[in-house]
Amino acid sequence: MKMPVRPSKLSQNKRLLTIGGLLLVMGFTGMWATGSEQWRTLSKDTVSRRNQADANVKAALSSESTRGERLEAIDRLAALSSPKTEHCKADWWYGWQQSVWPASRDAAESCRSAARRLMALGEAGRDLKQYLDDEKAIIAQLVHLKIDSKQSKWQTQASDIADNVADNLAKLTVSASVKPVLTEATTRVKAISQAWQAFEAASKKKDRTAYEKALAGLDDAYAGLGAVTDASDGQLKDALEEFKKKTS
Amino acid sequence: MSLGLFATSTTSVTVGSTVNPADYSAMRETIKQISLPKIDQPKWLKDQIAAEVAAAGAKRAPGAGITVTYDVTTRGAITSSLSEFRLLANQTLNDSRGWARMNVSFTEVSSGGQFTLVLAEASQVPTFSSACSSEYSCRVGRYVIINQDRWQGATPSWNGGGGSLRDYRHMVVNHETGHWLGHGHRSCGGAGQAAPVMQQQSIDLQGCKFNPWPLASELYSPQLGI
Repeated sequence: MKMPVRPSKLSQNKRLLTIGGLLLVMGFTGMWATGSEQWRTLSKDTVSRRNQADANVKAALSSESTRGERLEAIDRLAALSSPKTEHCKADWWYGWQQSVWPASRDAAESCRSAARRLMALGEAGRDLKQYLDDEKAIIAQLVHLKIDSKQSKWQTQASDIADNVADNLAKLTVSASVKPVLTEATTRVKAISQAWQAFEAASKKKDRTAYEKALAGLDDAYAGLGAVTDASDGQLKDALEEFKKKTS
Repeated sequence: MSLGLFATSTTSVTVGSTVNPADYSAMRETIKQISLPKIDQPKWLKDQIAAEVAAAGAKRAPGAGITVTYDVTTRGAITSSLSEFRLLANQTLNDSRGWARMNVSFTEVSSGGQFTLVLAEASQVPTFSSACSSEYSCRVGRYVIINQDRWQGATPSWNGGGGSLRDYRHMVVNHETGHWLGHGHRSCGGAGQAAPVMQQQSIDLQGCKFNPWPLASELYSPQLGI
């Protein structure tokens, strides 16, 4: 009877070593593949966001866009990133690849470059959006000054409305670049309010000279609102030039 | 080894060279919609004016007119022909369709006129008063200020409505001089009617037709007492 041949200890160790080596290579390959995949996902997202940001900048400045399209593009641009967003930051376990393979290092740098532009465009978008939102708050008050002369009591209401608008404007808080517009608007609306008070006083007195002076004062006060347009044009032009510079 | 994962180039962005604030903000159109409607004269004032006009008419011999003097000056960089400005302004003021219908004649003098007609560079208009805008013409005290940009090119709404530059010039001279004569702004009397010359026609016609000349109802002057 033949006894089965038992493998020697040496050949057993060899097999174990081979299996161990294979497992190591597989593990390493798996880690590399997972790390690469993570970088691929991170990069894809960052590059895609950067491309979207560039497209939104283009739409925001294009002469072919409507105002609504421009404002939507600025809103989208502002929302694409935030100062807290961490782009291109892989888990530490996969981050080591950058120090081992040059190609991986280059790829990571490319991702960071896309992220830097994305952040710069996002910041420019947020600044412009802030300006426009602040100015919108001023406009939301000024629209109340529109008078519907078909209403029988418009004359008495106009005075109260101007008072309220002046008070509301004085309570608004806006960013530094919109402050000159708010100051001008507050001053002009106060002038309208005061002109109405002078007009009402002169009307009560039935003093023709005072009445005509107050009426001219009212005309001047309403015409004076043009200065708010001038202030807004100047400040917004600056904000837009800054946006163009930051996004070029 | 190349991973081939990362795009490095950024999309090229082509943008317009100039930016227009009105493309982003509704401020300009909002302000344009805010104006003082016509305030009807109270009865007590109508009575006073009627009494004064009657008294003035009784004092003045029929056909005897009032002469108003004015001088002409400029402010800022002027690129328009000043001699053409003076000629057209004088023709407008003395035109039989204009304020001259009040039996008033306007004479240009070299200095010391009752009012000063100014042709001003647009950016200089607000230097007369912060209530004046660089966009439009203005009147401040004795100064009747014509904005050179408007003198040269009228306004988009005027041009868009097919108004001629000559008529715009008549209108702007009559309108600003009207302020000096003591008039405030007026509103359109009704859709399709001729606009009062004291309506802000440069901004909004309110359904009226362009009209460079004062309406019959505007032919009085608190300034001159007629």
